[in-house]
Amino acid sequence: MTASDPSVLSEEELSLLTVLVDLIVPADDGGPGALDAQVPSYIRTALAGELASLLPTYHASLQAVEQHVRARCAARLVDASPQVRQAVMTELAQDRIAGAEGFFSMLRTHVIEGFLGDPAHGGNADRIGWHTIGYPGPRQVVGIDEQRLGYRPPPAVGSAYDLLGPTR
Amino acid sequence: MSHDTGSSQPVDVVVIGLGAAGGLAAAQLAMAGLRVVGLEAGPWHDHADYVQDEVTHFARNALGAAKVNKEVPTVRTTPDQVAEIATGTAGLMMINGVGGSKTYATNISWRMPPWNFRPRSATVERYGESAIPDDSTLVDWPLAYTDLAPYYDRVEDLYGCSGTAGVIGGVRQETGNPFEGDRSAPYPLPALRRSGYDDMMDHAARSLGWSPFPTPAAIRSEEYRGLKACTYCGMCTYNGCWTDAKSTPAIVGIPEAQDTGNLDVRTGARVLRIESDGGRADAVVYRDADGAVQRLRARVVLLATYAYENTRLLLLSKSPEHPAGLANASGQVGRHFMTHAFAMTFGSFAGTALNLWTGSNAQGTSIAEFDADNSDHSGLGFIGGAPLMAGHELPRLMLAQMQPPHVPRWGAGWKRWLAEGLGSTAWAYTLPDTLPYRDNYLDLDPKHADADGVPRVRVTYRYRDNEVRQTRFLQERMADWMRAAGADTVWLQDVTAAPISTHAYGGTRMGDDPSVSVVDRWGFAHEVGNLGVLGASCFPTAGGVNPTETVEALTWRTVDHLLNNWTEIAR
Repeated sequence: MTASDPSVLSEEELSLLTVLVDLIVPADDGGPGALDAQVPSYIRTALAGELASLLPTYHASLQAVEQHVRARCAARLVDASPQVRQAVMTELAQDRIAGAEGFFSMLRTHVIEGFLGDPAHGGNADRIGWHTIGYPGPRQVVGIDEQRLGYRPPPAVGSAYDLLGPTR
Repeated sequence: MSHDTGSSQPVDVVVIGLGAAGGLAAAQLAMAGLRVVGLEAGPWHDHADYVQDEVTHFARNALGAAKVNKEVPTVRTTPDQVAEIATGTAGLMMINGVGGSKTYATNISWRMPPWNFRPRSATVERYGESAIPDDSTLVDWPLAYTDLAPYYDRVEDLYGCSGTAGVIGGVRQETGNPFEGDRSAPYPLPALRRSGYDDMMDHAARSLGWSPFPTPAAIRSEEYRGLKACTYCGMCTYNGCWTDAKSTPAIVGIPEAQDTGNLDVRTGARVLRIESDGGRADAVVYRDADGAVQRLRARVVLLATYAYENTRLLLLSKSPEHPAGLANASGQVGRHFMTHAFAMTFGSFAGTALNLWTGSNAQGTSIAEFDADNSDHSGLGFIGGAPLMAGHELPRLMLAQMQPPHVPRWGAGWKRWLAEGLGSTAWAYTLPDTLPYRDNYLDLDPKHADADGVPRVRVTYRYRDNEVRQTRFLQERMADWMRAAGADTVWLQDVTAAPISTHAYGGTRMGDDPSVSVVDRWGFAHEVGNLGVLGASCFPTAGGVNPTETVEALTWRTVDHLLNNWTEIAR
C-alpha cells in the first residue's frame, strides 16, 4: 500500500480502515453499527484536521496490518473471509501484529468518538450511536423526574450545537 | 531583551496564575486596596467555549491543550530511567484561563479532615513508628485543622457551597458526614438534588452500617447572591458551566476586584522567570500576548500556577545568589511529590436505566468510614484512606472503554454491552491518600523541552505497597457498596499510579524547618521573604479528598497574613 498524499488517508487505507471499524462495532440483529454511523468518515475528517498528528501512526499501522494479512493468506483484508478478518482483528487487539502495537487502543478510542460523539464531527450519523445506548442527547436542563431510576428518555434528535448559551 | 512595563515603580503584588488559588488571592488583595497585577497564561473563557460536546472537551481537551502542551511534565518511575513525555489523557482537566482549572473541574468541595493535618504523629501514637514506610518523608502539617477552619468558612460563604453539615459547634448532626472537622455553621446552600441513584446508594450504604451523606460541592444548588443554580445538565466535568453555577474566581471575585480599579488582569501572559535581588523577589519576566518579553517589578510576588509549573518556575529562576533555583538553597524544590489516582469500581444493574448521563459528578453520595484513620488500620498494611464517592455524570466516551472483564473489547459482544449495559452501569470512585517518598520528586528534564525551548518538568514517581494496598482495599469497599445496592456484576479498575494528575501535591512543601520544606507555615518562601507560593504544591501530604477547597482556604490564610504584615513583608 502506498500513500500518495501523506496528509490524508488514501482510498486503499480508508477501505482497510472501514473493514476494521466494521469489525469493532458491526451491524447485526441488535441494530446498525459503526459503518451506518459513518465512523470511518469521522476518523478521516479528524485525521485531516485536529488529529493530524496521529496520521503517521495510522499510515504505519494500516500498512503493518496489510503486510501481516498478505503474509498470512496472500490477500488483502478487504478480500479476506470473515474468519480471517476475525482472526486478524483478534491479533490486532492483542497487539500481536508487528508495527501496529498500540494501534487497536487508539483506533477503538476513535471509533467510540465517532459512534457516540456529537454528530457535528461527522460521525454518529442520525444519532445511531446515541439511540443504541439510550442517551437522549445534550440538554441544558434536566428535571428531577429524569433522574429517577427506570426513566426512559425520548430518543436524541439534536446536537450540542443546537443549544444556545445564555448571555452572562 | 526585555523592558520595564510603564514606570519602574513596582506594583504592590504580582500574582502569577489566576486559577482557584491565584484568582482568589488577586481578588481579595485588590479589594483590600493593594495594587495588583494578575498574570494569566490563558484567555478569558465564555459560554461559547462551553459547548456540551464530549468530542471537543473530553476527547480533544479543547480548553486544556495549551496548559497540557506547555506545562505537562515528562514521566519515569525510578531515578535511573530516561523520562518520556506524558501522553494519553494527561492533565485533561487542567486549563489555562481566568478561573483556571476550576472552570473545568467537577468542583467537589471538601474540607480536609483534622487527622490529615497530623498524619505522622497520629499514626505513631496509634500504630507505632513501624507503621510508616521506611522511605516515606511523611510529616505533620505546620498548622492544624482549627487554624484553617475559619478560612474554610469564608470560602464556602464566598462561593455558595452546597452540602449537608455533619458536625456543628462540636455537635453531631442527624445527617451529614459524622467524621468531618467541626464547623461553625451549616453550608450556605443545601446539598445538590438527590436523584434516584443517590437514594439507592444512600440506602445501600446504610444497609452496610455506614453513614452516607451528600457529596459537598462548590456548585450552587440554589440561586445565591444573584448567581444561578445548577440545572443538572450532565456536561459538568471536563467543561465550563453554561449557566455559571460552578463557582470560579472568574465568576466570583475577579469581576468585583476589577471594578475597584486595583486589579489589572493581563491574559496571554506566559511567565518565564522570577528575578531576585538581595534575597528578595524583585520582578517577574513574562512573554505577553503579543510575544514581547516584559519585566514587571513588584514588592510581593505570589506564585500560583499548579504543582508542576510552580516547581518549574522556581527551578528556572536561577541567579548567582540562587544557583539551584529560587527558594531552593536546601534542594527541597520539587521534593515530596504526590498525586491522586482516581480509583474506580463499577457495578452493573442490568435492566435498570440509571440515567447517570445527567447531573454532575458532584451530585453524589459519599461515605467517610474509610477516610483518614476513621477505622482501625491494624493488619491492613497501609495508613491513610479516602472517602468513597458514588456520583452522577459518567462521560460516555470514557465509560464505553470500561466494559466488565467478561465482555470482549470489540465485535458483537462489545456492541451488545454498549446497547444494554452502558445505561445501567454505575460507578463509584475514590482518591487514595498517597505518602511522600524520598525518590518521588519533580526536577527539570535534561532532555525534553517545550515548544519554546524551556525545559519540561520531569516526574519521578511510583506507588509503593502502602498505596497499592490502600487502593485495592478502598475499591473492594466500593464493590461491597455496589453489591449492597443490588449490582449483578461488579468490577474494579486496575491499580495504577497517576504521575500526571489534576490532583498533584508537593514540590514546594510547607513547613517550619527550612531544611525539609520550601515555604513557611504562611506560604512564604523561607529564603525569599516576599515570595509567596499558593496551591497544593505547598501541601505536606495529599490526604484523600479533592484539594481545591483546602487550596482556597490556605490561600486566604496567606492573603490575611500578607495584609496583616504588609509593611514587614513588602518593606
